[in-house]
Amino acid sequence: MVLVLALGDLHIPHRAPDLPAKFKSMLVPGKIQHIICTGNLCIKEVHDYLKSLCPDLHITRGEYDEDARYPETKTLTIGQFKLGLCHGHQVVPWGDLDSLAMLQRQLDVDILVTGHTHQFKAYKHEGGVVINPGSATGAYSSITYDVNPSFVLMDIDSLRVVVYVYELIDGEVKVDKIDFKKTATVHS
Amino acid sequence: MGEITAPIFTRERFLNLRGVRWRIDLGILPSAPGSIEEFRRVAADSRRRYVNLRRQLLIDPHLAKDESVVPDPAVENPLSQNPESTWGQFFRNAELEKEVNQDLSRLYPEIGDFFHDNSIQSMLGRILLVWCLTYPDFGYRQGMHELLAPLLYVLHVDLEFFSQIRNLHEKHFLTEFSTSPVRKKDPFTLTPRILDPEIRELFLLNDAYGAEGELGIILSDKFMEHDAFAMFDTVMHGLDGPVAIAEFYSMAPLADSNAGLTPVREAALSLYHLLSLVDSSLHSHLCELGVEPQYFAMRWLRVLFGRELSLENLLIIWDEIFIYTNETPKGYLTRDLDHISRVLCSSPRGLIILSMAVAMLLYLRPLLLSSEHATTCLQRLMNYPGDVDVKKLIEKARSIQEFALDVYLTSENQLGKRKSGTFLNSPNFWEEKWRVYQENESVHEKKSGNEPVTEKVKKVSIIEKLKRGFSKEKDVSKNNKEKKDRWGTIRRVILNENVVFDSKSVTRGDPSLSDEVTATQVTCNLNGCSNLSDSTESSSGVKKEEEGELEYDEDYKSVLSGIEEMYNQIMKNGPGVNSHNCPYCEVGGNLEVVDKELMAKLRSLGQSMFENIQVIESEVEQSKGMILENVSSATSGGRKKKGVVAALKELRKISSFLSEI
Repeated sequence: MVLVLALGDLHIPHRAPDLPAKFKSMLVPGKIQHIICTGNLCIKEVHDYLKSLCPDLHITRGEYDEDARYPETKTLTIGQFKLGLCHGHQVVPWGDLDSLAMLQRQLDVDILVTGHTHQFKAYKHEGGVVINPGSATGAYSSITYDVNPSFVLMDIDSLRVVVYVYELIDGEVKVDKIDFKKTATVHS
Repeated sequence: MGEITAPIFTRERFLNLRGVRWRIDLGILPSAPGSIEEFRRVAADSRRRYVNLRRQLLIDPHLAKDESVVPDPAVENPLSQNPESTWGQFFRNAELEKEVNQDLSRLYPEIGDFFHDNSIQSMLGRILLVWCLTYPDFGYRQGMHELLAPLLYVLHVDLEFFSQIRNLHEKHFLTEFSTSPVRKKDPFTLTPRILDPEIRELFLLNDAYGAEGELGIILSDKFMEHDAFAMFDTVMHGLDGPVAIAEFYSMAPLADSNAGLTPVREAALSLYHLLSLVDSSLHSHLCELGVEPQYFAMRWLRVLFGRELSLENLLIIWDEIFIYTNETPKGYLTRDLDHISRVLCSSPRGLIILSMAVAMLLYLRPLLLSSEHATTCLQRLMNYPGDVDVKKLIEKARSIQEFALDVYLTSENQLGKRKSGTFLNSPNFWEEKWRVYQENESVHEKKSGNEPVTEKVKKVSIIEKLKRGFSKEKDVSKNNKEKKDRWGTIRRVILNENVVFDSKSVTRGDPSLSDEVTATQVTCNLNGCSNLSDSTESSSGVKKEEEGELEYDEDYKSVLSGIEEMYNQIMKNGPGVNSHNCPYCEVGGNLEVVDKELMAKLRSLGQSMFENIQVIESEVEQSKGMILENVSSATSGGRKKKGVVAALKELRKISSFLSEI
């Protein structure tokens, strides 16, 4: 029963000053076991803040990140699931499902988490899941100004993952829930 | 064999099975069931109750409560701050669990194989969690796990015992055609082969095919958790009786408490109240030092002495405590006394707990009385000696409990009458003994003829006695010597000071009495009376010699009468009891020591005594020369000198003892 927080594209301090207050009040340390961040934090203070929420933090490099040591992609295993992490600006066209599916096959993961488009998306695709947590601060993107702050919380429980999407729409936090079950495939 | 007749159970049937016995005592299993089936049914019911509770309370947010109602994601998400959300409950439970597990990891490290086994730990954790969630007012407090642990342990021991018996009778379970033992064969056909009716009954109780099937097996390892929960719940909540250990964990004052104190403090006060009735000197000593009862009583009561005794001893003590029912006996009310906790004084079980605590205090009596600071007292109380004799403790507790029953409970008819609260209403055992002894001695002395009355001869005889006294003292063991010295000092101190008894009229100046007083030891090891007079007489004689001022006879007699009075006073209260092995004394129980004031006085007297000794020594140095010149014949003078020096040495020793008091 593992809780994994997925977020990214905060663009602090360039495009946004901070996370929305309502999000901040929900994110208390102690509940979440892992945090995966798609990138574009951009500064070290944000890194430290995320570290305070949970010690297990995974970040990939976004194009505006000031710390150059983050990797381009990352894979990790939580429970029965393999998770893949990438910022997404490397995958062209941005946000295209087929290209992301290629990346997923390349990384050989069940769940791929990417960002860069600042739009929340969740696809079920070829036995795997592609998730875009959007921008946690609602920062404008290269594509659009109209961005709702959002992030994703995954509850991984053996072969089942429940995805909770938290979006800030008109000042209210809206929560949505998506269920994914992994088919128990046998690998030779 | 015909039908198997329904056995009549009493708890005596289960002397080997502590778990079953305790369950009967606590009321979880019926104490007078009509049949085995009923017995099993009650057990099954209690287990069902636990299962329901557990399912209700240990929430897994993944399992949908109700398939038809789709949980609203706005409420039912993990980060929800909505108090109704199951996730919120889940996280709260998780926090509680963390606390509980932290305590459990430190439980009974010395019996680690049992208590630190993972399955047992998780069992304990679940039980505590379910209990705390069932009673959210109490929450989890440290100490509850210590209370629960022995309960689980006895169940486990029972199971082991049963499996041993089963192994013994294994052959009965084998059939002719099977190679492996068939354990679940119907015991009704097998039992004729088992001759011992008790063992047969045991098997029937644990038959998987009896009433209620597996749920009804009395000694079942699958349902250890359930049974332990039931026992724990009863102990904590007292099953509607007055004693509820859970109360001791609450921080809120009782509704009907006079002083608005929390229940544990009230209980501690009633402990001190009982102590004051049983042994007021110890009580006043502790009060003077400022040792508040709740410092140690809280731990004693919250864990029912679990931290003070080893597990084996604890089980014996709990045997005793659980025997007594928790209900106020019909037709009885608690007396309306101040500082009495309704919790502990209304039922026999509460009273035995109180009495046990008092008995434990009394066991440590000599150590406590000798401590001068509150911290030493508390140290001794908190580190209770592990080698305590539990049987004696229990006997003492029983006698105190009977007394307490009289004091605290009264039948409705007698309301208003108040009994005096002295522990021993019968005349003091020691007074009797002393009286008898005195009579004997007077008879004996008269026969042998009185000592001559003239001054000088008296002096000589005194010195003789002094010497005899010293030689005797050498023979006796060291313990006794200390005690003797202590008692001798009291006398000498009084004599030296002459403060208390300066102008007493001579009531009894006959030499026969004085000789009685100087008579030899009592046979009993208790040296309250022994050698007191020996040394006193000698020292008085010596002192007079040294100072040479006071007229011998008059002062001697006055001092004697003073001694008599002093002695009687002391005998009334009873001489001090310092863990001696006399068989009489256990009957007598607690005899109070010399008054507190006296002890304080003694201490100050000890100081002044030391100063006096120094003065005397210097004088003796000077007068030594004088004596040698004046007295021509060596014998008496030499003896006198020796006597003086020896007496001085003795006095010195005694003053050091006194100052240590």
